[in-house]
Amino acid sequence: MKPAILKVSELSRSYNGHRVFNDFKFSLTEGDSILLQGENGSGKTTILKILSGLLEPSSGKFIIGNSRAAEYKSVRPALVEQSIYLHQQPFLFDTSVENNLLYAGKSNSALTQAAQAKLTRLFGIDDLLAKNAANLSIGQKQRVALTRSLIYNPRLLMLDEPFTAIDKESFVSSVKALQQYRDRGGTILLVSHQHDRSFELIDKCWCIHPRGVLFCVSAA
Amino acid sequence: METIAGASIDALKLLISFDADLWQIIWVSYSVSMRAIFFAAPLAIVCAYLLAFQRFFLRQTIILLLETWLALPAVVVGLTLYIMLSRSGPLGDWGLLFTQKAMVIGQMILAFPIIAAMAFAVFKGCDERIRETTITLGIPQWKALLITVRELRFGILAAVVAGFGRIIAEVGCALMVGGNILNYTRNMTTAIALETSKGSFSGGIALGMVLLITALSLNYVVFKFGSDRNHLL
Repeated sequence: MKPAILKVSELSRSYNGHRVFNDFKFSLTEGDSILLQGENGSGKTTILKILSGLLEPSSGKFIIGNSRAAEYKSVRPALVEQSIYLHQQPFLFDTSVENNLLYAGKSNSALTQAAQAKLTRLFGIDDLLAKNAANLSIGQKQRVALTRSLIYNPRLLMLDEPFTAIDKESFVSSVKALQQYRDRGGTILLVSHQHDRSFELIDKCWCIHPRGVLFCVSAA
Repeated sequence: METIAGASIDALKLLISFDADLWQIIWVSYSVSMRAIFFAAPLAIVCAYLLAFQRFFLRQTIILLLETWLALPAVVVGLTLYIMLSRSGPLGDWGLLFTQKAMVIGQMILAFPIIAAMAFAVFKGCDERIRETTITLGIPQWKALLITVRELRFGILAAVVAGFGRIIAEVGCALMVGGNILNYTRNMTTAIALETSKGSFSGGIALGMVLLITALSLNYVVFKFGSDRNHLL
């Protein structure tokens, strides 16, 4: 049985007194590939941002690996360290695509040069490397951002609607690259409304009920 | 009316003939203000970045003080600095009163709150994805600062230009701590005040023209920079 890399309990989040979700409990295991479903405003993006260390929850207990349960503030650096969050409309810096791929704070976990080159070819962005990222189409930006995320090879990959502007051919390559990442032990948490396209990638599905209950169904 | 017309023609003649005294005054102005901006801008931008993105003790108080500092009159800065730097003051031993260095310090104090407050507004209003992307990619704090400034360079440049615009045109502080010494601390604004009090308008008008051209040029740089970015021109 694969080890749990993150266990979360009593997770709640409120905005201006309005409760988005309450008392969620779940765990993520190495190699998991999970689709997070729910209505608009149910808190899908909020969960991804919390688990990436970008957004503080109202409450929650976190266990990373074999460590003890801790509050968010003390585990936040570790969450940032082990995960990458990819925005629905990914942000690329106003410089060349190559430089965007090179912004590497997490370079200690980065792939080899050869593996990086293979990824850029797989996503079909090797001919875009010299172009300014600000001038790319949304689909191209999504491909570059996915490549950048996979190059850093995080333990946890949080994907927020990553395929909305990607064409069919690029989608097949993206799924292939993400499957390879998952097979290497990477964990994927995906928010996508394109369910039919995403099922090739996922093995579990979490649903957020409008009443604020998180439950799990098997994708198989 | 004839006086204004005649003085304006004389002013143009002074500028075109490269009158040595006039151009020395212009040089002092630019030299002092550029040095002040050079030191004040990086400090103000870093301060604004920390205030915008970090949570620390007294943060709200510092923001409040910064915004209050914006309203500080130049003569009050000049007076405070005069007391500090005068021979009997706590910093009198430094011998800085009536020097260009004193003017630079005074102008730094005046430029800092403008640049910091404007840059703070730029950082606070920026696309949150910039900040989140630098965090999620694990980019170190100092590098994230440089990247963010680069992404927001149009707004940050506007803040720096606004700071420069204020100090090149201020008169109170420069007069009090500089002393209006010819060929040393006399800058455009103190010279205009002096020439006007002597009833010699041509020199004042010439320097006024330079100040206006400076303002126009600075605004053009900001406009052009922004327009190029937005493909408007």
